[in-house]
Amino acid sequence: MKLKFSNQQAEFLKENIAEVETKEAKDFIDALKANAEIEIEYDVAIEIADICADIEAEYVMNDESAETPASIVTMISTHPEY
Amino acid sequence: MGVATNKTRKIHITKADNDKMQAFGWANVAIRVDGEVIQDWQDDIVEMAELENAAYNFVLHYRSGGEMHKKSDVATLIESVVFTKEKMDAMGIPPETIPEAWWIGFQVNDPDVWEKVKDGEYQMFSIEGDAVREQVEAVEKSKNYLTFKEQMGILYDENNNDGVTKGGPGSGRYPKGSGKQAYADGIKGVKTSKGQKIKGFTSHGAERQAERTVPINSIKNALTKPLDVLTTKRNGKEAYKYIGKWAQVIVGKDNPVIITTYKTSKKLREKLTNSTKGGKQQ
Repeated sequence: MKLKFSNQQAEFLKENIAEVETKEAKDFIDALKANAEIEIEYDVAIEIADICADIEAEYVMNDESAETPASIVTMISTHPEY
Repeated sequence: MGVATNKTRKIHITKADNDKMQAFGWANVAIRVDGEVIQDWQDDIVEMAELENAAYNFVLHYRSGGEMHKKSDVATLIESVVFTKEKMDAMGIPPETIPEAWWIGFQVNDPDVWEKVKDGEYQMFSIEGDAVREQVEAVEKSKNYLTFKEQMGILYDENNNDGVTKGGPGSGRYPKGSGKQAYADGIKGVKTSKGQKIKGFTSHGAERQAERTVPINSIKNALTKPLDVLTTKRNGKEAYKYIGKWAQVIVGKDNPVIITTYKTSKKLREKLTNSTKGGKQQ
């Protein structure tokens, strides 16, 4: 699926790259450039959405702003190909 | 000058008769019971006269419902009435009883589609029509203006301190008997497969539910009949992640409120459904 990550979203993913498990997802985040439409593999998108949802929940439980991980989950989970 | 646009109207199913495969709901609410004007997802406001014309046009020329943009003519119109103030007066319906809105009913013709309605996958049907969009003066956020999220009946209160959405009677924010209270009540008290009794949404969870358009029935399905339940633990705080067929729902372990929710991906659904069929016990 095609997605465009903002600066904030890309920075967030790079900071939390340790959370992802697969090499494909790590490679994707490593190479991620913000503000450009990029093709992301379906499996990688799902993994990133799931990880971001877990982090989103953690932030909410700790009364921190969950806006950035939540925005990534929303972008992926509402994509027509999701 | 107006701009022609195609509008898809999603009909939230309010009443369903399983034996007859009939579904009913509000096709469009223009003005709520408490006088609040409704704005939809595309920031459009529909005037009552326009809504009435659209309803008549639909009955005269279309009369069919589609399956969430996938298949058309899966349902046939069997009921349609636009409740204007004048008609409600004529019918003897007391003021502030029901909204100024278009009520609609469908006979579903496709058993597969009906199964999805019962299962919680579909909480609405969609109908399409053409409209002319005209710029109006910006409506200042006030008690007479509701966003899409609010009209969906999402109940939240930024000032609550117990992690539970509030509103309705006594909250000072929403009027007694508002749709929001009924909406929250649809989740409150649901007993999950883990034995949790759901207290409601966090404000964050309510906002995400609306933003990601996760149907309430799908959330209930995930909580009561999950395909899998994971435990997440971060910074000492634990939560359950209920993975349902159509939605994933994260609920605090000690404080059973819905923290967030999003739709289940096709791949995960297929994977878990197949593993369940293969004898996996939850």
